[in-house]
Amino acid sequence: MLSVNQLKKCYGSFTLDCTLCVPEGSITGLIGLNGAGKSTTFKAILGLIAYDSGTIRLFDKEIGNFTKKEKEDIGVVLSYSGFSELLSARDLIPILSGFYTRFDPHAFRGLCEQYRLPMNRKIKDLSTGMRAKLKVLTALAHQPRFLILDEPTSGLDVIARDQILELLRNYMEEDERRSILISSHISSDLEGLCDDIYMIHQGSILLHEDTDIILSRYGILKMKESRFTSLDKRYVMRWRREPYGICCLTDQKQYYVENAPDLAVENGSLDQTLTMMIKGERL
Amino acid sequence: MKGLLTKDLIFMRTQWRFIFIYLLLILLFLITNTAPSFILGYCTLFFTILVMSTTGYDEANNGNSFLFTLPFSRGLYVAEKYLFGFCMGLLGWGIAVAFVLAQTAFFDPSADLLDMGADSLPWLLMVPIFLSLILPINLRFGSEKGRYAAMILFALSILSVYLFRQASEAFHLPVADIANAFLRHRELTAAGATALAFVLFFFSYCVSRHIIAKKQF
Repeated sequence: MLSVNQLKKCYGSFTLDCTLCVPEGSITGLIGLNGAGKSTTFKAILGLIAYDSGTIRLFDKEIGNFTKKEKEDIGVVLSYSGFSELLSARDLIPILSGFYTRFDPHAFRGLCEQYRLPMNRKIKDLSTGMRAKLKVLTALAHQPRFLILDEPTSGLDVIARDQILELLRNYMEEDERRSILISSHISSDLEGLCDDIYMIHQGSILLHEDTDIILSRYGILKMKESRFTSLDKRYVMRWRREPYGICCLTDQKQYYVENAPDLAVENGSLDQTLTMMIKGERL
Repeated sequence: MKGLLTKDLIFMRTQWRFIFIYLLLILLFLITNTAPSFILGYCTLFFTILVMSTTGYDEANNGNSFLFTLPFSRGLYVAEKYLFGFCMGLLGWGIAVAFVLAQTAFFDPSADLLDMGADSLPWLLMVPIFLSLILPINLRFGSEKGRYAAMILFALSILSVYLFRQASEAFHLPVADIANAFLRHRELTAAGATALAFVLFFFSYCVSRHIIAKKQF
């Protein structure tokens, strides 16, 4: 569905150098610290910024050659931007009808009612959670084939986040050919939603792996420094000194469970994996 | 373009109180028998400038980043602003003409209203000329700086007229003769001025398209 190949963009001392791919029918997560390059990657995909080199293909077409019809197949949520705050959900109906041929005003009103969004209140008077929900509903309302979501759950409480994730799951269930590229620094959201994850740091992709594999096969090994010397390091991706000794990231947790029962082995999470990939050292 | 126009019209609807108060102000000018040329210019310009408030709303709170992900080309965005600005200017001019005719009919019943109406046509040229000068600045530097640019342009135009008058007196320029020559060939003058205004309008539109094409959000 989406193919980003050696996308390069320089901003002074920061360089984005990114290659990623979102297959049809899948949800791909992009996780990284603030300033890692997530939003820059999204802006390049959406044509909001120029880039120095590389290719971006969506629906098997260069994004620079997109017509209005192809743009209608994309739904976008940007955490830092949206429709003017002077508008209300009711105002958005004629606007979206003017932009999208597949926009269904009746369905949009129904969704706003279902998620208890006041139709007549201006966006500036909505709570943070309501604004986020409205952004997602606006992105979904015209039945897009591809969603690009830049931190859609940023600043939300757990219930609001859950509602948005539910919206996204329902969206995917309606048509198996749809895809989502979602960025977040709330790992727990991505763990339950994404099929695969890209970890980005300082403009480069650190890791790309299926979510299931990260959660099942990746693990954190903890040991004293003396034990680290004799450790079989074949499957150690990163290591790091801690107050208690040494901490290692492995992508073969089960190997160490079976062959080094003296080690403390913790299940991998996206947060821990990301922390180790960024702060840990290679062997 | 329908979505863009709908959005800007809804923005105008949110400004209805401001526009209503402005129209009351025009009414006050009428009642106090203010010069029709002032009312024509002021009203036409006010409605033309409203297009700048729409660009302001677009860019507020980083709104442009999201707006330009919607299904329209950057060229269409520019075209819509020029079209919207022109239509609003036309509306403002139409309202001004209606007010001025009503004022003339009240204060000077013997005046030829048809002639009056024809004399107000040149003010319509202010719309493409003003948009041509203001919109590229607005799109390039943002609505805040665009407002300052509009005020500076207005002041410069008044200053230009004043300086031209002074210069023509000082150097004994045959301004009156030139003016009479234009008036003798009224239709040709009007056609030439209109053509020039729309050439400028088109050139400005091309410049604005280039500005928006290069802009990064």
